[in-house]
Amino acid sequence: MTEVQLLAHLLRRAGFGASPAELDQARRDGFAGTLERLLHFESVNDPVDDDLADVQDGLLDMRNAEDVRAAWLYRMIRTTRPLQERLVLFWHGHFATSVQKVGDAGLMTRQMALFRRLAAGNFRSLLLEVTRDPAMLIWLDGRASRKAAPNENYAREVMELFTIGIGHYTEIDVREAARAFTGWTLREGVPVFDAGQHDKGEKTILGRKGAFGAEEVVDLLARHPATAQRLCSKLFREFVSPDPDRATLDAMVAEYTASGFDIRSVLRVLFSSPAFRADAAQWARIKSPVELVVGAVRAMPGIVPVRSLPLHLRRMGQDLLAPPTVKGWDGGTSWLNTSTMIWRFNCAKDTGPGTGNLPSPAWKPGELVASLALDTAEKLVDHLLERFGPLSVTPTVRAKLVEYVQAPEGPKAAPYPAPGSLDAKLRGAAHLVMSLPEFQLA
Amino acid sequence: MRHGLDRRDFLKLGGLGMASLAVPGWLTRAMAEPGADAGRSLVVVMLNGGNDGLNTVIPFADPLYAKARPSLGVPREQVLKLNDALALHPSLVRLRQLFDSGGVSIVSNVGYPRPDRSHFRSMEIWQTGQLEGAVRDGWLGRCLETPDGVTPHSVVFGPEAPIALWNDRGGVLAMENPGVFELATDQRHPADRASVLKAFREIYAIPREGPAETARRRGAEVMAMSDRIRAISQKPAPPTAWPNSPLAQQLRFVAAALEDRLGARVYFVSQGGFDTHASQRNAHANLLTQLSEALVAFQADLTTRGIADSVLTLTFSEFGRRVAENQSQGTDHGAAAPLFVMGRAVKGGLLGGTPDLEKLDGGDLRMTTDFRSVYATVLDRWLGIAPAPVLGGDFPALPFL
Repeated sequence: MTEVQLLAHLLRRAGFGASPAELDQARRDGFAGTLERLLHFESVNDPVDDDLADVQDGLLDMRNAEDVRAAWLYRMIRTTRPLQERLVLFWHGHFATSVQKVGDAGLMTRQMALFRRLAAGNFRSLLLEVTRDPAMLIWLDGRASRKAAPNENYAREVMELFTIGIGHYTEIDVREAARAFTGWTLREGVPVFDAGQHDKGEKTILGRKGAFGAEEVVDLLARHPATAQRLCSKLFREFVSPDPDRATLDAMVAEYTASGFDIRSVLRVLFSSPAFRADAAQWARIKSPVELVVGAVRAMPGIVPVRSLPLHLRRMGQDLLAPPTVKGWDGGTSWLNTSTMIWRFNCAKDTGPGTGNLPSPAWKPGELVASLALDTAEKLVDHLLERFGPLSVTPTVRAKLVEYVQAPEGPKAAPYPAPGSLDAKLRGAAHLVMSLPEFQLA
Repeated sequence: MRHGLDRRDFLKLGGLGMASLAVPGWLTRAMAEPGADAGRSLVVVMLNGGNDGLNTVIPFADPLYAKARPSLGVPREQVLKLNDALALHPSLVRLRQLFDSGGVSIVSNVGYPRPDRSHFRSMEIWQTGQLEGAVRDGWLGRCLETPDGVTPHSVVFGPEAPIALWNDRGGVLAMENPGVFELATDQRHPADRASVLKAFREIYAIPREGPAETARRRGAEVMAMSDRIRAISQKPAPPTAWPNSPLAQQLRFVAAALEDRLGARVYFVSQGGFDTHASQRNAHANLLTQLSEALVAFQADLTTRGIADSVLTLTFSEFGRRVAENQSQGTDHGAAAPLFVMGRAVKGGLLGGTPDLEKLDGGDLRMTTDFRSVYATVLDRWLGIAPAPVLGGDFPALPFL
């Protein structure tokens, strides 16, 4: 990878892809500087909160899940802390909770805020807070769990999906952990510990005996070697490639333990690893629908049609705040099926320059072409490939794109770059570039 | 491991043994020759919102019916009698004709133990075929495979696959409208559309390597499928009179796709609006008219196309409704309800008995037939798939097949 390719790779993985301005900034800071800025996102000023406060005032109804989704997408698009938001999305997929059962969009906002606050924080703290999170208490029935009748739903999933994974626990561990989690419930949307409903008796969990409560179980699970393995391998697949390599995984697992479960330290090891810089890692992942859409919008100047995006995402198989199951989204090639693929293409039409069918005052194709001197079909194609990647395509693919730009819009139309051709050809070429097989990858 | 052999393995493991009695000859043949059932399709009609079963198949002779439904009860002289105890709602007049000719089985009192009144949860139960546990896959998705990675095993109308069709392996084609299942281009530049499509197809015909090749193949397959779907939807249909309801339009495409041998084993269509908490009388009557006319038109069309032998249609809803009407001339969420099974292969008639309006469970009808028995029958005797591994247990088959 060249330096620029590496930086673009980092910004795609530790974020949602970069605008030309962000890429310039990264060039000035270099890889190490950019990585630290991404990792220490708290120290980056982010005006998105103020923006959102403005937008929410009257325009968005945060009791409505569709508006909460739109607000979140707006944040992903505008944030100056892309890794933080990528991690919120990662934790949303990991602790997959659905508003369909929770029934309260406000509680989903609250859960996302938790993920945001502890995005790169301590995994044990995150797990403990998730255990007592109102949306989670509803989603996995913790609020219905009683001393006399412990509900096993959370106890099972916390082991199977959130930490150690199948094969590392028994049904007895599930039952005993369910007893330990009793007492945490919801009163008027607020999590409370009801000591009278907590089973104070001795439990045996994962080979350890004690009068455990939620904190002790969370500690046992966070410390478990299988948790380190599963979590690090999941982070590798999210940020590098579908095939974790042993050496990087070992280094991440060692850091997880040495740092006392600090996600930021683990991510630093991951992004600094040779595996991350390897040519094989570049374009090795299929973009999730969110990455596809947010990346496309970030790459283009202009107004963001966030309200239309949740529907697009749903059609592409990623209904934010409503993952299909507690397993979250499978990801990888499962994003590309016959139904979702056509929406990836059709969404590209609507998120490209000029924001689809919405009138956009920011869309001035003539000015764009003049300011960037895109006066030939070749220059336009190269510019778009650069802007949406940089994507590298074979000369034949590039030639087809150039041929498209050169073809007049109709029998009487003047060819590019005649002023009358610009709107059609800029939109069409951007649609084609965003529909490339190469653009489906991150 | 997951491919190809599953169905035959299931057959070897459980199917033959389970279906030993009462199995018609053609079925034994089908099971003896794996693949003989491959041409058969299942059409699932989901009635969203909880259909009022008590006003669909009406226990008209029971005085408790009129008592529980003072404003919503269908007057005795209007019902379409099936026998001395049960009758169809007058809106189902067309379906009644089909029933008389033997092509419809009505299974009453279908449900599951400890009924859940949440739409969300009850749909999960019906669609997973499981009463508890995390939702991971659906009763149909669990046992269906795409034969070649391109042909969908199921086609559904809507933005996404319903839980019933979920599995880890994909293979569901979800579309909101077959007529527009195609690459969209900018509406402001219709004259440019041909150029965009040409470039798209040519770009997707150039082989790549690695993950880009995976994406390219999927894209090329989608374009091929989109051409096929559009061609099917534009093909001149036989002169069957089709109503205009959304359900009828979905089924109309299904009939065309079946004749065209699109290759899906399951077609999943739906009709919404059954959550009739208030002012139910006309709304429900209209829904039933739409349902009846769409089903009957579908069956007639299949017959005209000469493919009625290979299609089975099954309706379901997440629950029935409370026996007693509420204060808003509507009904609230209930439990057991009837469903319809339709097809030339179906042994028509009434199954599941008459709703017992005396012994209610918290104001709701008690189920007498587990919905998984319906599934087991369809899996075993129609799709040639052993039901026990899919449903996690043995459920007695019903004699509608």
